[in-house]
Order: sequence, then C-alpha cells, then structure tokens
Amino acid sequence: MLDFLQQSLNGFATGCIYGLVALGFVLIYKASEIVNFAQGDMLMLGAFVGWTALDVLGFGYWPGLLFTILACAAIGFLLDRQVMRPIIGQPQFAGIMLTIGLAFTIRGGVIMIWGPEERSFHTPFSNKTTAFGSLAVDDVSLSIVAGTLVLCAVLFIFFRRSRLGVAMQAASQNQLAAYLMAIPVKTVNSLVWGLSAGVAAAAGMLLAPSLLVDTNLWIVVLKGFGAAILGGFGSIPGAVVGGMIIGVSEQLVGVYLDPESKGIAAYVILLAVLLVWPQGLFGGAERKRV
Amino acid sequence: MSGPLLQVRNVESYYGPIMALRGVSLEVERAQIVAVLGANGAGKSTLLRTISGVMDPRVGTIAFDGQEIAGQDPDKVVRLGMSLVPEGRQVFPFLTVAENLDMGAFGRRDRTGVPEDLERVYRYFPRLAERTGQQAGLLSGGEQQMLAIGRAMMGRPKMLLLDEPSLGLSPLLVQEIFAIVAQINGDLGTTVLLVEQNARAALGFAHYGYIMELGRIALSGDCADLRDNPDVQEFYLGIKEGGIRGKRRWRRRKTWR
Repeated sequence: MLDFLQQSLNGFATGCIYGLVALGFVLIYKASEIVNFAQGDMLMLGAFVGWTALDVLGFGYWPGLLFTILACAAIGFLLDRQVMRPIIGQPQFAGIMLTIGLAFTIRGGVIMIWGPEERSFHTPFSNKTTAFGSLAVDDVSLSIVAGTLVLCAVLFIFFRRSRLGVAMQAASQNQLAAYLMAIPVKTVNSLVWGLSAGVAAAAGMLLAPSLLVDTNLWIVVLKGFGAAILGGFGSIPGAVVGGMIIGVSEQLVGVYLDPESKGIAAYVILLAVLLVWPQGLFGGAERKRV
Repeated sequence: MSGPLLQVRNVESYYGPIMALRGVSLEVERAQIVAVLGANGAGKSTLLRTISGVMDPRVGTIAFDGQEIAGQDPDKVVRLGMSLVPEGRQVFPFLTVAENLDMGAFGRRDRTGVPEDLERVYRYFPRLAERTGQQAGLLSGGEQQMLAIGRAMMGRPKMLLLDEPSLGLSPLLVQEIFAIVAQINGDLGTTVLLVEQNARAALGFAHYGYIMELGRIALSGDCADLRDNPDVQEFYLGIKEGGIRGKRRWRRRKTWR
C-alpha cells in the first residue's frame, strides 16, 4: 500500500509536467487553432536558459526561475510575431508544419549554443526528502506538484479577473468581434504564445532537477500531446487532469505490470478513453461553428 | 469640425475576383440616422465591413471625422470612435454579459467614464441588467442583439454602424430595438448608419436613406420622400397600386434605371 502511494505520487509529479506541456498546447490552440509542436522544445530551451541563469550568470534559484520564465516568454512572443504571423491566412496545416520546423530549429540552436552534453543545476529541493508519516517524498517531486498548482491558480485568476485575460478569451471565442472591440488581436495572440512559452519554461525548470538538462527533454511533448487530447484539446483543466492521469497510470504500469510496457501505457489509456468519450474528458462543451 | 461625419467616395470592394461594391459614394451628417436598404446580395453588409475596416477597399476613399480610414485595421478605426455591430450579433458566447460589456470598453483611454456608460447601457436595456452574470451564448436572440448594441455603446462611439439589427427577431422586438436606437441618437447625438432588409421598419425611424442594388447606390433621399416614392413602395414596402386585376402588370419596371 505504501509502495503504491509512493509510486502514484512519483507518477503524479511526472503527470504535472505532462499537464503543463498540454496546457501550453491548449493555450495556443484556443487562441489561433494551431497545434504548436515546438512546445517540448520550448520546455527544453527553458531548462537550458535556467541552467545558464543559475550556473553561468550566478542568479539565485528564485530570481533565476523568474528570469527564465520572462526570457522564454519574450522568445515565445517574438516567435509568434516574427515567424508565425506572416503565414496568417494560409491553411492551418502550414502553421502546424511551421511549428515542427520551429521545433527542429530550437533543438539545433540549443546544440549550437550550449553543446550536446548533459548538465544539471542545483536547486533548493535537490537531494532532500520530506516525510509524510512513513511516506518519504523527494522534494523535487513536491516542487513539481506545488509549482504546477501555483501556475494553474495564477493562470485561473489571470483569465478570470484581469482585463487582458478576458480579452484573450474573447479573442479566441470570436476573433471578428474582438477586433471590433478594439482588442489588438494579433498582439494578443503573440502574448498567448509568450504565456505558453513561459509555462513551458517553468515546466522545464521544474523537470530538469529530476532528470538532466539535456536536449532530449523535448520528448515530453509526445506525452503532453496525449494529455491535451485526453483532456479534450481546448479545455485548460482538461489538459492538466489529462496529464496527471497519464503520468500516474504510466508509473503504475511500469512498476506493477511490466517495465517494458511503461512507454506505451499512456497511449493505450488515451485510445481507451477516446473510444468511450471521443470528445476527450472535458471536451465537447464547445463545438466549432462552421 | 464641420462637414459630414462620414464621407465615402467611389469605394470598390472585392471578394476575390468578385466585385461586391461597384463605386459607392455616400455621406452621413452628424447626429443623423441614415439607413441603407437593399435586397440580399446588394452589398450592404460589404459596405459596412469596408467602412469599419474589416475589409479593405481596392479603390476609393473613406473619411471619418476628417481622417482617412480606408484600409485601416478595425481595431484602429474603433479607437477613432466608430463601432460596428456586426451581422448576426457576434457576442462572446462563453463570457458573461458583464464581461462582454467590459470588452466593449477595451480600447478606451478614459477609464473613469466606463461605470457611467455601463449604467447607461443597463438603463437602455434593463433586460441585460437582470442577466449580468449569465453567459452571453445562453441569451435569447433579442437579448444578444441588445448586448451587441450595448457592447458597442461602451466604447462611447461618435458613430454606430448597425448591420441588420432586425435579423431573426420578432416584429415587436424589432420595434423595441429601433426605438432604443432612436433614443440613443436623440439623447447622446450618436450618429447611426444602419443597414436593413426590413425597409418598412428602417424608413420609419431613419432621417435619410440610401437604396442599394447590385453594389451601387440606386436611389437616395429623405426617408419621408423615399416612403412616398412609388418604386420604393412597390419593390421594398410591398404596397400594391390599384385593384387586384386593375392596370397593375405582373411586374413593373423600375424607373430609376
């Protein structure tokens, strides 16, 4: 039983990362109906920028985290403005292909700038555990869970309470009307990209201590994509919950069934859920009007 | 500044290769209500979309309050004080009524006037005041139209462009909404340019009217004159002359061509 809880918690922490990647997908998809396959590479870039901030520039952990999020948000904003905006009006497919190109470009750029070798950085949570009764949880996992919850709360308040957040929702619900309300839709879309890149960077900073700062970090995008679909692609809570389901089930399958099948567990669950609810867990409330 | 508030000169707009506006010119005087009438496909909505910047004209000039606005993005045009209430209402379906109205004031610099305007919108449309927390997508068609007009009012525009406000509404609601628009025009001096298929309702309350056919202005005049024009009566108001088998032919030719 104790082991089960322990494993669930580890899976839950990984699931939070998947959830954050899925969240980035959903934000951009809702704003511009583009699936941003560079989401995983933004996360990887975030980890490298974070390493630079901590180990090269000598920031403390918290200022470094803030610096990383802001720097990556700025990169995301500029990517939309300079790279994605010129193809507005082209078929959706072109935009999605462009994000795949962006993904490879970011990966190549990171290797050119930082080199391919792995590295790690020190955080206040590294190599520590907290005991809950007889359950020992490492602090890195706790930091992932806590960080995800804080990010979700901040985003929730931002979208509900701030005028810019409501304007982002408005622009995604009816672009024409948003224009007519003097909402600068193009800038708002770029800001959504910035937000999404910031979330990815935060996820990268949270994930890096439990793995390594490595160019292969982008692979979480595959699980994150699954999580976004599981949650209904278009629902923010759905994305986070989808990520958690995939993370926990993957971990439990790996431990109790077969370590070999850990990799496919996520997709088996995804297929099973989609067979029962083709709309995804939280989808379907809003259909696209044709 | 004197002169007409809006001056459209020889505007041509295209949908791809298809010419939708074939050289339209019109003027809207300050504090007037001007109606543009016409059948389906006459180019009425295209005209409003072109004026508000949603579409760019290929030829022609559009001057608003002395400033050239042809080819500008719609969010810039709105900031100059011209709000379009688009066809089919286009509210934000998953935002509440209050949030929709707040978005209407998004481009405003003087935040201090916003509560006052919000109160005024609720006074004009008491039904919205009862539903502030409701999602706009769940409102009835008439309420959505009221919300769309109210939302445009929140920008405190000098000019309101209304695209088919009567679309899909009961005759009673059409009267109610037109009465409120006339009241807004009277109270605040807001200039109104209105596009309608419902000629009877529009000619009843506008000051000046233009009739469009196939992308051109076919006829214009004071609404009282237009109401008396036999061609307008026959083709837009459905008033028949003579008896059923009198001298009326099956289809009379329009005299303005």
